[in-house]
Amino acid sequence: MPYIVKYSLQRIGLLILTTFIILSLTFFLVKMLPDAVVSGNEAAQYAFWRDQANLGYVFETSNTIQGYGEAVLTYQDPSGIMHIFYREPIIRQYGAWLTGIFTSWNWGTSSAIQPGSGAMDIIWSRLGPTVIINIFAMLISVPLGFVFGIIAALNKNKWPDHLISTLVMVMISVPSFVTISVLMLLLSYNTSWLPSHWPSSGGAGAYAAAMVIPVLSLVFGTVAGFTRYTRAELTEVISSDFLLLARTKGLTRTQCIVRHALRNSMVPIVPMIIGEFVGILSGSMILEQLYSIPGIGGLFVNAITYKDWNVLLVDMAVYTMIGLLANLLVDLSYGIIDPRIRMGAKAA
Amino acid sequence: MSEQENKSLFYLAGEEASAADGAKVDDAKFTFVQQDKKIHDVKFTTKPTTFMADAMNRFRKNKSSVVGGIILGVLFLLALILPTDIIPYDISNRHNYETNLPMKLNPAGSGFWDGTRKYKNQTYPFQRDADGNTLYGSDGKPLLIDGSDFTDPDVIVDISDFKTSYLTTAVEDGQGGYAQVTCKGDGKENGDICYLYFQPMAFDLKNNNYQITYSLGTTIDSALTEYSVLLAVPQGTSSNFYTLNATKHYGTIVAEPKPEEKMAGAQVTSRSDITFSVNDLITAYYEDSSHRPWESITESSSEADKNVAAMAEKDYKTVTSGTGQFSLGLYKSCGINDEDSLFVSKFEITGTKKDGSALGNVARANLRNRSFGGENSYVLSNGQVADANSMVLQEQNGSSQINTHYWKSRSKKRFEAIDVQASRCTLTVDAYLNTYGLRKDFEISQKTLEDWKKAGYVTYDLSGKTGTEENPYAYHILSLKTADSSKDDFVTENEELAKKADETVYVKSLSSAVDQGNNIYAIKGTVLMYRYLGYSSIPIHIFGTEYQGKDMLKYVFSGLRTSLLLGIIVAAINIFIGVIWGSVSGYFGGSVDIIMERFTDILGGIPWIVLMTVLTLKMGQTFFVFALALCLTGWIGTASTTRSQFYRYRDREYVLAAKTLGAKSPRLIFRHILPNAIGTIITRSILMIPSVVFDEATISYLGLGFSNLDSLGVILSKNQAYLSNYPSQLIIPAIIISLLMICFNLFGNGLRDAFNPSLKGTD
Repeated sequence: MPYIVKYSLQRIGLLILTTFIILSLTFFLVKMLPDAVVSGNEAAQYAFWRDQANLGYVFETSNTIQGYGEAVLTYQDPSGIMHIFYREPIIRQYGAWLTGIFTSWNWGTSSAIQPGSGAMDIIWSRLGPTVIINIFAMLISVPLGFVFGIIAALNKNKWPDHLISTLVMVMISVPSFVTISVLMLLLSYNTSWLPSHWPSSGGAGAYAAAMVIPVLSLVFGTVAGFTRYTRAELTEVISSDFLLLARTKGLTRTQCIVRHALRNSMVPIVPMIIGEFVGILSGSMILEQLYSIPGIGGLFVNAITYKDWNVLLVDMAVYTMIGLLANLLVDLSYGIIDPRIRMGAKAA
Repeated sequence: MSEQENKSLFYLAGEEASAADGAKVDDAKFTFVQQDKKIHDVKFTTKPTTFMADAMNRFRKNKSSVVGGIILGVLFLLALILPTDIIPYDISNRHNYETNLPMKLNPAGSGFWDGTRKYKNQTYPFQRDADGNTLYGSDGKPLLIDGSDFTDPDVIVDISDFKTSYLTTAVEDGQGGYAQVTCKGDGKENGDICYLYFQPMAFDLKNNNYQITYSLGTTIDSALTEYSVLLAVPQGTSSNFYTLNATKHYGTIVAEPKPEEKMAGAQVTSRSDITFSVNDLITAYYEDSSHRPWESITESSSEADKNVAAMAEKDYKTVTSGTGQFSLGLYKSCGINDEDSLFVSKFEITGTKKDGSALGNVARANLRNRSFGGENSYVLSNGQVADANSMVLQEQNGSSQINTHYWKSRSKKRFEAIDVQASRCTLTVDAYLNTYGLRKDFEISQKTLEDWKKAGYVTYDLSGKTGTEENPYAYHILSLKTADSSKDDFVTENEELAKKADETVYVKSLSSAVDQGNNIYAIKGTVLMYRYLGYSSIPIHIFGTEYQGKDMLKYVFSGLRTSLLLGIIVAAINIFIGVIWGSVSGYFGGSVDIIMERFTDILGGIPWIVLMTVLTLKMGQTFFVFALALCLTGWIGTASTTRSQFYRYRDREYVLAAKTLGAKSPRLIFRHILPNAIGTIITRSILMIPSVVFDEATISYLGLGFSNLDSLGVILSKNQAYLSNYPSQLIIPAIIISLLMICFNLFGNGLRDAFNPSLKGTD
């Protein structure tokens, strides 16, 4: 078996195990929180808890039982029958949760955000805006970051480098919620060129206009990151011995840079792009909230606000997986792009 | 070796360097300075430098890091000093009267950072005479208009940018405009209809001829294709509106230049040459046999039909006899789903006598120009007309006049004036004087009065109980005096006394005693607010106040103090745990290392935001929980750095030597290996502070910030809502947090370069 396949399988196995442990921990932690708040009238609440009972998180009786704590819902249906719901012990809920996921991919039901809908369905419906905004941010920031990084590296310790490095330092330091606030103030409130929040309806034009501010505020940070990284890598390659050899063999500076330096500096940069892409997915949480974008980041905040624990749990799972997946992809892509690197191999 | 010789050695070395550049050096200068000297037992005259001193030396050369460090120091210092009593304003309570003040550093009117706020599109605040000159009172100050929001004319620092605004609603001081009547289809069957018509006027058709001239507007995308001139005979039955189709009177609709601020999307086109005769209208109407029901009445007709026919015949006779009361107006209907508007700017009825001599305007509504009392305003009886603005205003106010001789809308979905012209200006208002200066009709509550009484400021007499039937608990405050008899009356309506007592009074004049039921009493008066609020002079808030009336300068820096405190504590704990964990893991290696690494892998795999959320939700949003949550995973980075340092050094020969000499593990760890990692650890602990501040701000934005403390993150997230109206409330903490981040990064990078020069430039 080729080494890379073996290593990948190992890592994926480990990823699954880590995800499982983390999600289990999160499940226990979340289940220790106060009850989910179910919106809607009594009948709707009954329907929700009925569903939860089917999933195995609560059980239903018609009499009061001692020793199970407070009932989550006491409901008398129109025919006069009492429905009392008590919570199952957490370890049983855990069992039911795992069964639900592994047998029917059921991650629970939303209690407040879209009462009655499957939590996983809500996540899927919200994934679109988040991913689109991040893809646009990436498409803009990767080339810009390269260009600025290359300019800075080629003019090392001259004014373009100093200028770019200073800007990079500022951009990296300024938090994204400050950037988006300033952008909203300048482009939306003061000039009314762009909408100040995500439109609830409208054509492609309205969405395109609404995308400018969030994409821009993401771009600032990522461009700075790419620039800094590209500059560091390129300066390192430029000062290496093989580039000196290339020069002494008679290549012009341009030939040297384009054919040797740039290619070699790409090796660590490409994995970084992958890592960064997955990284900013989770970084845009506040941004989504401030600009009321209906993505998974805003969903996270809403789930906390409305105490919709089932949705929160799935959202957390998504973010956990995104983080772990990013690590894995970066490590694997190192090995694929540069065969010299054997991640996880024993030191010779 | 003397110092002199030492210098010459360096001197020569310098010469040598220049020689390499090609300069010719005299051979005689080359001498062997240390020839015949014994140098092996000479003491070093230079002092050996320590690792720290050397690092500091390198750090000092990095100018930007030094600047970053200095700014950081200033911020720390300010965070320590400013939240104390140096700034005398209270930031722990709400101050309802002092909210949202702008930044003030310079005196009002100086134009920059002066505590003024600009209000655009405001009515001229002072009274004016007919020629437009401002009226002044006896004190030399301009007189404020009735119902002004301001108490003191001094509050208005500057009035600028006079212009005529075109408004889309009717306003008190507006004039002109179009009357817009909108009818709307209900989406089911017939669309709605709307009318705009004159109240009944007497016409004398026997002796005179009348002409109607009118101007219409329309939205740009719906041409006026379906409107009619309305003829109403008011004495008729309930369905007493007879419409007369005027389609034949269309001409070319000429576009009118679009006023600057006309209502968006409603370009108005109009024409004014649509003219036809009232006499023709009426005759044409009754020529249609369907409008003459009395002719088709038979014996078998129902009683109701007979009644209608009788009414119609009566109307017809009235008309043909030549004199009668008619209403004239415009009528519009719209389709099932349409929303159509009728815009009217002018409607005029002129008359000529049968003998040809002029009768002048019979009725005239030139809605775009106010024409009250003007030369050609109206002639006929008391048929009055108004501009669109006052028409709409009167209808909104439910004025009775509208039912007599004004224009009126009927079956309307919306009746409003657009393109109303009003003179508007930009007011620059001294927000501080407005807040802290005189405030009229200010109600001093019972509680305040009782507090004052307790404190001995006032005495008052409530013996004059004047219970009436409506209000049996009414009290009349007989007298309200300062306790100090040498002072003038606490509350006085006497202007002279008020002036004399200006230094001590809170309440300048008592405008009314408020008697309320249930033994609650309060007084209303004109109050000098800063005195009332307990200041000895008008306060100055350099950064203004936020939405709860707290001084921004003090508030922001007290938030910074909280954030930094959290950062420092968390960083210290994380470094402590991380160093011990990393040391043990790296020093012992093997299975200990593997187990410890797997543990950190799993712990580090949980996104911090998840951990933080669950912990704060479970345990409350307190300082302790935050510190705990940030410490749970925060130490992992330090641990792994320390671990790798240990891997590097633990197999070195000097460690082996120490081990051979009998050093125990703790000594090896803390005395021999750990000091190698000290630079990295210091850099890490410095850089951990801003990341903690940042994490805390992030979690605050998610709505899980401190519930009882105001950190920088909490301030930022709370003030986010005021971004559009009071941007400075968000921008100031945003600048502080950005500055903090930048300086920490500069400082930290400088430290790292100093401790580990080989990393320099990698950022």
